[in-house]
Amino acid sequence: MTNSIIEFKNLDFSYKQNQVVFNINAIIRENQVTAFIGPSGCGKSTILRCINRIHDLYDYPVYGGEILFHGEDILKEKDLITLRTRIGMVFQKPTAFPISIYENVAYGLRMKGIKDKKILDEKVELALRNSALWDFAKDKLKQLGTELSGGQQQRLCIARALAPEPEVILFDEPTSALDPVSTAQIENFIQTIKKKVTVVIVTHSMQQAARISDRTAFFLDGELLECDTTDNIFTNPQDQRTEDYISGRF
Amino acid sequence: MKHLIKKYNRNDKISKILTKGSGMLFLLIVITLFAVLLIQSYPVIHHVGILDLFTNSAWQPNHNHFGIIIPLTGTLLTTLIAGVIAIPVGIGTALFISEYCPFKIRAILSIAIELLAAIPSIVYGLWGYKSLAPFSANYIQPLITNTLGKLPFVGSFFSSADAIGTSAFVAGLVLAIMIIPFIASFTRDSLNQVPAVIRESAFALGATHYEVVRDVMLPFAMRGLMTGIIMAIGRALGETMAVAYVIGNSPHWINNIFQPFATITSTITAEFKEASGVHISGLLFLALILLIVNTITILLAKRYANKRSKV
Amino acid sequence: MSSLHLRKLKSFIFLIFCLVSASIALFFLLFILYEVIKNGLQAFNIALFSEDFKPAFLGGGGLRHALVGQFLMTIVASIIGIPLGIAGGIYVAEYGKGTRTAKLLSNISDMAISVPSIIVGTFIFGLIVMPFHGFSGWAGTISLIILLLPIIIRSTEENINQVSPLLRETAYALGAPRYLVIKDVVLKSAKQGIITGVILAISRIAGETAPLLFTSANFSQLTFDMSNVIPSLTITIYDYTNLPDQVYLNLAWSGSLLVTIVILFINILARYIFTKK
Repeated sequence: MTNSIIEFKNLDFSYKQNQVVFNINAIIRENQVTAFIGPSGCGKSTILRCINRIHDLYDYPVYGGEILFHGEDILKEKDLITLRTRIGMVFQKPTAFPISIYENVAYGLRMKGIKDKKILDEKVELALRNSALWDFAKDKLKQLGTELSGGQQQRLCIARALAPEPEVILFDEPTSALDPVSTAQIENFIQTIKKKVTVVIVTHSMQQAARISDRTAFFLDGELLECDTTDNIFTNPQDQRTEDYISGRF
Repeated sequence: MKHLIKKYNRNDKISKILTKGSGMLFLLIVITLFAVLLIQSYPVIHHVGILDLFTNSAWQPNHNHFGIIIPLTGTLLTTLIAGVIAIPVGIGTALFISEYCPFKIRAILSIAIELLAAIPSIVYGLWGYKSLAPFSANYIQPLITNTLGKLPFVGSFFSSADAIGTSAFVAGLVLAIMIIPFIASFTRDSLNQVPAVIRESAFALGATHYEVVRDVMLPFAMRGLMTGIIMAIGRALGETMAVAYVIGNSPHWINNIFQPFATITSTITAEFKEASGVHISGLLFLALILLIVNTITILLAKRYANKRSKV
Repeated sequence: MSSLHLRKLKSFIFLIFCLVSASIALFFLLFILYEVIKNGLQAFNIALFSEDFKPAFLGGGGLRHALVGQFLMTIVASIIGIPLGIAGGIYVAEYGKGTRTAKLLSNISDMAISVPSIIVGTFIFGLIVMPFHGFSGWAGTISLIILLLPIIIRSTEENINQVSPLLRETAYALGAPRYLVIKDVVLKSAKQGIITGVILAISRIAGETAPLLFTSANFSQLTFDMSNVIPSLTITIYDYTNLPDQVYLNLAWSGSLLVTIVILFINILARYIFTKK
């Protein structure tokens, strides 16, 4: 069993007056894949977006409780820029920037202050190799990232999130806009990176959660019903509602 | 039934003819417009020669000098001043509204900027002449004289001790104020079209606000932004009343931007009532030149909009 | 981590730039509104609407003649221009759809919207005023119609194009002839958008000055005779500014306040209709 890296303590979240997340207590373990599952509107994406404080771009977030990252409360963090270089994120839709493939991947590295061309080249290549995009893209590094296909763009985004070597990567339904082949590639990929990085993935597909995650948290109406090893959740759920959801009775 | 079909066919034919006729009428008007300006320009072209019109640096109708260089320069100079002020201010305003401003006053600010765009140009003119010109002479002109005016080589063009009020600078300033909302709302609209998730993902990589704007928002919004800027410039080129009020219409070379000058529109406006014969033809030739310059500008904007939209 | 500080500093400087920009824009907006309201209220009274021009020693009178003239030309131009424009738009989006002529008409209208209004003024000046030796209300009205047409053609076209093809096909499938489909289905669905476009187009011409300057000129008394010179509010503002007596300048400010209120009102109306959609 590995150490905990993120710990939710009595986490509440509201969109202004409208509370949608209630009293979450859970642990995310280092170098594991943790899946957040539950019906749409259950608050799983909302909780994920608390972890890198991306809610703070808008005027609505009201946090309560704590999210400890290596023991420090994320919700009290002042330096969000540094926080976000340590906790990366991949979104539902591909979000390639309208700059070259190379610059897309190098973007987060530059944010970390890396300027040395040699190091940049190395890390960009490594990230592209890891996301299985290198063979395709090595001759097209100057091409616009936005010109790639959907699946390629999403792998580019993963490479981009991975390149600065964050400690945690948050995936927000990363395959929901992709075809089955691209989905399989990305699932394999997530399996291989967990040696280096902790993964938290929100998914609407229970099969996906079962295939790739070590631990699974099941949310319903903004509350955490269960958080356990994926095996336990899928074979021996403690809560009747978890069982109902998993067996498709929702 | 047969009778009904007959009626249908007849009515369909009639409505097609009516709508097509309306469309054709407008095309005819546009063709006539070019034709009239060309034909009415002919006397002055015939009288002084096309070369003289473009090379003679004097616009003195009484002495048969119809050189368009000065009014054309005036039009370009005032537009340039307007652009230099309005482009950064307009873009900055839009960025402030869509990136920084507290959410509560966002809508109010947006509406305020659009209000600024709806005010008729005659009102800008009167205000520019009676309120802005003295304000500029008292505050802005000394400020520029003491800063840009101190630059080597070009400084004298930005410095003047005389506070006349009406000047090329004030004309440019009024134009700038008129096109700021135009540029701002174009920029804001294109910024709003950038998908929220793209913006979020830049922040998620640890970018600062400035970096997100520079690397993601502006490149994404570039097409709309450029189109807006070129359209705004087209507007400044052809603006009449506001400029006519504040430029002082003096078709002589100027030593600095705080002297009265003349533009194509101010020249036409000031002179057409007293003009006769070749002079009128000269003024309509100016209108033709303005139409050509403006059309080129708009074509440029359309081409830009179309070219980039394929990416 | 000094590079981080530098980046944060840059971002802060950029925030200041945006803040200053918005302040400049807002400053000038408040400046112009303040001046127009402050100066405009001085002569803003009943006489403004009930009296025509009077000599300065009689108090200068009001702006009734100018208001009536401008209203007359705007209304007549709208009555003629709106149906023509909508018909043209229907041709582009329906009967002529896909043809070269329709595309040309659409592109030319698009360009014509951005043509400076002074060009239209000088055109009518050269076409009508000069050859027939006279400024007239009709000449002014025609120049307003020319300004109105491209805006309405384009907005009608765009709004018709937004009507779902499915709706149209359903109507055709019921055996309706084309003109009835256009009348009963297409125009009804596009109605709100077209009305918004029409109102915005009217607000464009209602505050125009430059085209009238060269066509309808100005006159100091109330008249309904469109075949002669006719006063308008905007040109009266322009002419009054240069008269030596302060009363006329006050009237010019009141006229400015009035035209600003009217234009803003029309714009808000258009926005209201549009958002009701």
